[in-house]
Amino acid sequence: MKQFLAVFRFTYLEAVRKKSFRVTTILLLVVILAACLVPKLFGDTPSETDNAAYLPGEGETIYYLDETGAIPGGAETLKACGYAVEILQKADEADARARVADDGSAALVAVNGGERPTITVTVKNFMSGLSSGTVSTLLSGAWSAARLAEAGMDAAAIQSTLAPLACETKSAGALNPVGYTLGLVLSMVMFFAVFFYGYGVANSIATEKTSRVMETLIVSAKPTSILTGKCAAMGAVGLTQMGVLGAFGMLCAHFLIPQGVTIGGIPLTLEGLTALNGLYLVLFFLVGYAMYSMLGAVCGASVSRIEDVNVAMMPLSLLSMISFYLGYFTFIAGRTGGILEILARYLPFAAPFGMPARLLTGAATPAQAALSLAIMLVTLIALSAFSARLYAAGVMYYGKRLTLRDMLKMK
Amino acid sequence: MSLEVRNLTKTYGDVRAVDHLSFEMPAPGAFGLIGTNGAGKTTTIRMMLGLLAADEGEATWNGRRISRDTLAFGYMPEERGIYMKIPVAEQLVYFAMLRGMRKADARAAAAKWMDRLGVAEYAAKNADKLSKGNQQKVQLVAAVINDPTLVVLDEPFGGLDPLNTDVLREVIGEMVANGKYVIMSSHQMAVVEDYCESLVLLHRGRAVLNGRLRDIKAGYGHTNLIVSCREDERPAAAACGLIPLESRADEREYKITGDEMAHRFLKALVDDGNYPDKFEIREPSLHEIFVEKVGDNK
Repeated sequence: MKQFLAVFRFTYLEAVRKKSFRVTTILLLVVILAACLVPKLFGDTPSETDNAAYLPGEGETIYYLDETGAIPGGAETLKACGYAVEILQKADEADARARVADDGSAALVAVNGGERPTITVTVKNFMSGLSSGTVSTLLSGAWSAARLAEAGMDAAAIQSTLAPLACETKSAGALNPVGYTLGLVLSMVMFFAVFFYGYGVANSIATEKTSRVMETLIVSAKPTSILTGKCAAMGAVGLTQMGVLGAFGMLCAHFLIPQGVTIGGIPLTLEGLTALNGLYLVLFFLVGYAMYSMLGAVCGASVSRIEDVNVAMMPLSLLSMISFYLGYFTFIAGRTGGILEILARYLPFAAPFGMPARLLTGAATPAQAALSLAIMLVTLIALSAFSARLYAAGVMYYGKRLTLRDMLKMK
Repeated sequence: MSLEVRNLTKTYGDVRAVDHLSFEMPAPGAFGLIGTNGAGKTTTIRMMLGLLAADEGEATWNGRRISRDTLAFGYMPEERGIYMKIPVAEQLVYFAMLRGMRKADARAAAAKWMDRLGVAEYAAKNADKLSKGNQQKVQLVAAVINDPTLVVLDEPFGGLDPLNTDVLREVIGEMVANGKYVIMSSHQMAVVEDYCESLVLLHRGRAVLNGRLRDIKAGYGHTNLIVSCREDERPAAAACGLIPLESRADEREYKITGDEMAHRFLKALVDDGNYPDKFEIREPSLHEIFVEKVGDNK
């Protein structure tokens, strides 16, 4: 235990004192600050959405050509919806087209007369913000209103007839939108942590091996103490960094994000994150990271040159990416049955990416999470023994990069 | 207490790096592990200390296999094995704590040894700011900081200037005087000869010489003669059958078959009225024995 603690303390201090750690942390703090400013700049606060009418055409310009008057009141309808409308003659069409070619918020709307008129909407390109579908709907409504008026229907009846039917969307399942978003974010954070800090373990061990410090270390301490101490220390570095970022994020959220703000209709709150879920999240992170870091340690021990670490880490990188995709994409697909779903929940390498999101949205129960965690723990114990053996075998070998088969053969 | 190595063997593919090597250290002192490059010295050391699994044989201390748990040992590897970007004192304390020392004791031991080896001023500096010689001294401190019973030094003098070599020689002498078991692997025959009572000479993994240095040398007898005369003594030497070995500024060294030849030569010089200022009969140096043995076994 003393050796483990000595390795842990030394590795932790060495890692947090590195310039790369400090620079990365500062950069991430800046990103968090910027992200917390986004709702203030672009979010929808309750006061804005409740008190102001929604005008789809606000900030957009339409050059309107309807010489035959095929859609009576078409221009007025568009103006009422916030569009800046300029009525054209045929001779002005080419000039208007040229202006639209330079302006992504403008469109040329040409009404072609006939028994049943057609509408041609010309925009800058397919990425233009102006919606031709909205223009079409508005003008179709105006034409229908004119035809009904011609047929003798009064204005109130026309308005009632043409008004869209009320439609409400409800969820039969228990998906919590806040939990969904938070779950996706946590899956990505987990992947980042596993990749980055697991690589940190591999790099630390490879550096000690290639600099020959390993020869001094290995005579001083048991390989298992060095291995577990390093993995635990890098995990603690990760928790420290995420703790600092999380605390800073909460401060920024408290002071910068207005109350009740939503983005895309999703409220920015941590409602639904219970203490039990929080505990599970931490456990999934710790055990998941521990598994990957053990394997990262073996990768680091297999190389004799620091340049070979990336190549040695490739199989582990592939494993983590496949596991992440399995956990992540089965979650957003939203299906609950099937072999892929089961693998995403209980396969030890995929569960850290897939289970937290399912917990937060209620798609997995605490009992299922406990089972998944238990499987991960058993895997971790087996992996620790396996990794310690390979680490002890490979860490004092200098020469070609060792494969798994080479390390299994070594005593 | 004694160290015993029996039938240590290690094979890499078709290459037998160490071939059934046996030797022992029954008492404290210094033991030389010498040999050419690639002879198997470092492999032997690693197997002894349990860093490398032997294919056959074992190394024991008082009858028990050597491990971190059974014996306090210190190891100074041939290549520098210290953290370049960590302050010197901090990493020395770390190494000491890994070996079971308390932090306060580790700090005191680090300070004492750094002072002894003349590197105390670098305590707060990163190791990469030190010269190679000073790094080597730090490495030695790392090896002995926990006051181990067995100290294994792999090429401790490599790259050291004469001053630092002297410091290291003194420290080794002190360790020997303090009852430590010191195993020294080196190419510097002069140092091995000065300190090592026993040695094993390895060549291609095999022991070509093994035993007490005195006995090894005695087996060769008196084979060298160093002479310095006012007149040229070479004609007389040739007449007596002496073989020139080396000519220096103020003396010459000859190979002789024994004391009788040396005495006959001396008589010849005196008869000629060519009185020598220096006439020294001696055993071959370890360097000469090494060259002869390794040359024989090529």
